[in-house]
Amino acid sequence: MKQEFEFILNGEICDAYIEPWHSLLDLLREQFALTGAKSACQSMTCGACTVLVDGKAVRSCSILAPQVEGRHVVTIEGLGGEDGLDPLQQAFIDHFAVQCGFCTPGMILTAKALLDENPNPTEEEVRMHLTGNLCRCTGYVKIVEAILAARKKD
Amino acid sequence: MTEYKVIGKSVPRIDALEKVTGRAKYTSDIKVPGMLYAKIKGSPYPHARIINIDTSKAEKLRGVKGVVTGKDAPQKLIGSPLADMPLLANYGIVRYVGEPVSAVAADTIEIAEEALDLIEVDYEELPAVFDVEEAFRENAPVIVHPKLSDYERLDKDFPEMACPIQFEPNRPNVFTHYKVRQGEDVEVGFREADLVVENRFVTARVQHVPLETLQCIAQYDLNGSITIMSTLQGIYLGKAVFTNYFDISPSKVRVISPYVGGAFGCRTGTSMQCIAILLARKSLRPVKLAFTRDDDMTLGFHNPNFVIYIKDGVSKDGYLTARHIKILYDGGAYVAEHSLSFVAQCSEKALATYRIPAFKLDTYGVYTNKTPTIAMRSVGGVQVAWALERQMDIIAERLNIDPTKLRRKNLLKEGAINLIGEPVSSFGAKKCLDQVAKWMEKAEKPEPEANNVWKIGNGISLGSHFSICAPISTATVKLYSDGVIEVAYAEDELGQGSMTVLAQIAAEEFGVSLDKVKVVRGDTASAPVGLASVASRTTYFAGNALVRACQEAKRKIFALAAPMLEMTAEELEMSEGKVYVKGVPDKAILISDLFGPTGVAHGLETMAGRGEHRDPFIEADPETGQSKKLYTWHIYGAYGAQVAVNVQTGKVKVLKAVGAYDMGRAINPKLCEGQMEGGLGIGLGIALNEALEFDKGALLNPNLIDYKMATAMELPSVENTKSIIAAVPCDSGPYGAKGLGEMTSVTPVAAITNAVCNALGIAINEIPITRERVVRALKEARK
Repeated sequence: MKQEFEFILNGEICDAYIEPWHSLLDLLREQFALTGAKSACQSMTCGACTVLVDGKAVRSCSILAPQVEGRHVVTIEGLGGEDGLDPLQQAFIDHFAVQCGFCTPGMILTAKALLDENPNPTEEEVRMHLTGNLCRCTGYVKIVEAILAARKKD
Repeated sequence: MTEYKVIGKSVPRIDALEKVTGRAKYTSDIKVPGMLYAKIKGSPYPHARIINIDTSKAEKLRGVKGVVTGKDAPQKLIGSPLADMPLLANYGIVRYVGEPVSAVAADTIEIAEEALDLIEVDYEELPAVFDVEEAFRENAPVIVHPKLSDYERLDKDFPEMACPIQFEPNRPNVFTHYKVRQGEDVEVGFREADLVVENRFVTARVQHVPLETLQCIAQYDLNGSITIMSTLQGIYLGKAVFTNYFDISPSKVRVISPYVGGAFGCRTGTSMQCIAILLARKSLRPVKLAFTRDDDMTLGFHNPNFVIYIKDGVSKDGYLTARHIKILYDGGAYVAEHSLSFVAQCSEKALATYRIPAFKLDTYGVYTNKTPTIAMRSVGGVQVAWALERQMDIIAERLNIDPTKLRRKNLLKEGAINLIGEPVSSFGAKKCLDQVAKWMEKAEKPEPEANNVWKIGNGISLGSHFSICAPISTATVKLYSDGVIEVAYAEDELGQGSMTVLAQIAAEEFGVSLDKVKVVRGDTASAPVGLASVASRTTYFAGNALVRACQEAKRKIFALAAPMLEMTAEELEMSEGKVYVKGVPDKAILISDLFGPTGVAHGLETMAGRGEHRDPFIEADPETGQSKKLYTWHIYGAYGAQVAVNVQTGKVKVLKAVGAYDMGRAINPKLCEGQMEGGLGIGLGIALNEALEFDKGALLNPNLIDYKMATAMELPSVENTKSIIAAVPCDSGPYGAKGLGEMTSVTPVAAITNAVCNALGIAINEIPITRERVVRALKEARK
C-alpha cells in the first residue's frame, strides 16, 4: 500500500507517493529522479547517499521515506542558489577534490552540515567528520583541503 | 623543459562541474523504458557437479520475464588469453562459491530476488583446494581444470600482453609458468656471496572496491543487435568479447560507458555483462544488472593473493650478486578475464630497477577453488613489489647498511640493460629516491620516550611499473566553424582525469583555451577504436594518437588557408581561432572565414584529422624472458613513510608519507598529485587492513564494515602528505609523458610495512599488518 505525504525538497513543497518500506534514497532516486545521492554499500558505511534533512547530514539509505514527512530535504542538486555554486562545490572544483565523482555529492553534503554547525573546524575535526564517507580515488587529501578552504573565514 | 600554454598546467577538471552538482550520469543512474531487473544465483559450493537445475517454479512467478541457465549460453568457454571460464556453468561444473549458475530478469528487483529462491539446483559436491601452495604441489589433492591442455589459447594472437602460456606437466594446477633468466647461474652467485638471505612472503587477497558497483543495461533488438551500457574500462574491449562470444557481426554491437564510479582494474571484466545479454535476448526486454556491494565483492573478481619466495646473495658491502625469486600467483578458479597475463606482468617489479649479475625468476599461475582474479591497479605488482622491498630492508639490516644506501648501490643506470634485456631509458629511480630520502631526512624519528607505548619507525621503498605495448589507440579531431575542437577517443573516464588531459593536449596543439575543446568518448558509435583505460596507458597511447590527429587536421586547415593568405601551408601557424603567417600574427584569417559564411561553403561543416598510436614490441624468448622491447616504458617511483606503532594494541598510525614518481611529464600536475594521493589511500589499506577472508572458499566479509578500506582518519595530515613530481621526459610520449595511475599504489605498501618493522625491530613478512598481527609478532619476539 503506497503512502502519500508532503515534504520540502530542495526548497519546494513536494508530494511523495511511495510504499512505506522504501528508503529516502529510493524516494529521491526513483520518484524524483534526483540521482546525485548514490547507493554504494547498503550497510551505512560509505556515505555516498548522504543528503541534508533539516540541515543535518543523513544517510538517505538508512531512513524510511515517510520519516521525512514535513521536513526539509536538500540534495546535491539543490545546493547552491540562483547565483551559482555553493562555496564547497567551488572549492571541490578548485582543489581537485573530485576524481570518479561517485562519493562527491555525499562528501560535499557531509561537509556542508559540518560547516553550518562549526564554521571553522580544524583539519582533525574535518577528518573525524568524514569517517563515514568513503572515497577510493583520492586518499582524501584534496577533499580535506577543499573543505578547509571553504571554511567561513572571519 | 619547454614551457607550454596548457600542458604542464593544473587546469581544473572539465568534468568537475557535472560531478559537484550531481548531474554527472553513471550507469547506476540510468533507466530505459521497459527495463527489467536482473539477479544472479550463485553456487553455494566451491567445487561441484550440477546434477539438475529446475527453473520451472521461478518461471511461473508473476513478474518474472526470463530465466537463464547454462543451456541458454553459447556452448563454449570464455576468456583471453586462455579461454577457461564457462558462462552460467554451461559445462556442468562450478569451481568457486558464488559462481553464477542461473539468472533471472523480472519487473522488480524484489521479484527477481524471490525468483532466485525458487530455482532448484542439485549438486554433487567435489573436493576443493583453497591453499595456493597446496594446489601448486605435484601431487595436488584436487585438479581444478582437468582439461586444461584442451582449452583454446589466444596468447599467440596477443603477444603484447607479454605472457606466454606454459603449462607444467607435473603440476596440474599451474596454468602458466613465466620464466626470466639472465646472467650467471644463480647457484654460483649464491656460493660467491658473503651473505645469503632467504625469505617467504605472504599476502592477503584484496579487492578494488570502486564506489560504484558493477552496473549493466543490456538491450537486444529483433534484428539481433545488442547495446550494452555498463561500468567498463574499455568499450572496445567489451565489444570484442561480446562480438566473439555471441558470434555476431561487430556492426551489431554497440557499447557505451557513461561516467564510471571508479574501476581500478575490475571493470575490465565483461562476463557478467554476457549474462545480462542472455537475459535481454531471452526476455526481449532491456535488462539492468545492478550489483549490490555483496554481489560486487562475491561475484566481482579479486586481486590474487601471493606467496613469494626470495633468495638473495649479497656481498658484504651491499651489492646483490644473485637473486632467485619464486612467485605463486593464486589465480582462483578462472583467469579468463586477462588474469593469466598478469602472471608475467606482476613480475615486472623484480626486473626493471636493480642490477643483479645472476638472476632467475619463476612465477607460477596456480588455480584454486577461490573467486576468479582480475587486474587491480598494477596487476599484482603491489604485492610483488612489497615482498621485494621488504627483502631489501631485511638485507640492509643484516649488513647494517642504510636502506636507502643499499638501494642506491644496486640501482640500474640509464643506458644499462634491465633484467628482461631492455635498454634502460627515462630512468627516474635515482631522482625519485634522492627526493624521497631528502624529505625523509627532515622527518627524523623523534627520540623514544621511556614507557611510551608508541614506537616510531621510518621506511622507504622503490619500485617500477610499465605500460603494455597492447594494440592501439586512435583519436579523431574535428574543427567546427566557430573554432571549437572536438576530440574523440575510446578510453574511458574512470576518475583519473583523462578527459581533461586529452583536452589539454588538443588545446595546446591548436593554441586555444580549454573551453574551446569538446570531448567525445564512451560510446563505440562515436568514439574511434582504442583498447581500454588500462595499464596506465591512456595519456600515452590516446595522447600520442591525438597529437597526430591534431597535426593532420592542421595540415588540412593550412592547405585550405594557404591560397587565401598567398603563402605556402608550411609557412602557417594557428592559435586562438585564427590561421596566421608564422612570425606575422597580423597576417591572419579567421577559422570561420575558412568555412565561409554558411559554414558549409567548402562542403564542410567540420574539418577532421585522425591519428593512431601503436608501440613497437619484440616478443620475449619464453625460456629466458629476454626481449629488447617488451614494455612501452617503465615508470619509477620511491616512497617514504613514518609510522607510530602502539605496542600494546598493535594499532599503526601513518604519520608522514612522501612519494616521488617520474611520469615523464606531468601534463596536469594536480591530477598527478591526485593519483599519488589515491595510491597512498589504497596502499595504506593493503598494508595495514584490507583482506578478503574465506571459509572453505566462501567469502566472509563481502561488505564495507568488515572489509576495511582506509578512511580520512587513517591518512596522514595534508601537511604530512607529500607528492613529488620527479619527471624525466620520455621521448616517445606526448609532450614527454608516460603514465602514472597504477604506479602510485606500488610503492606505499612496502614503505609503510618497512616503517612498522623498523619501529618494532621485528620482521613481519605477511600483509596486511593488522593489529592482531603486530601483537602476535611482539609476543613471539618476547619468547
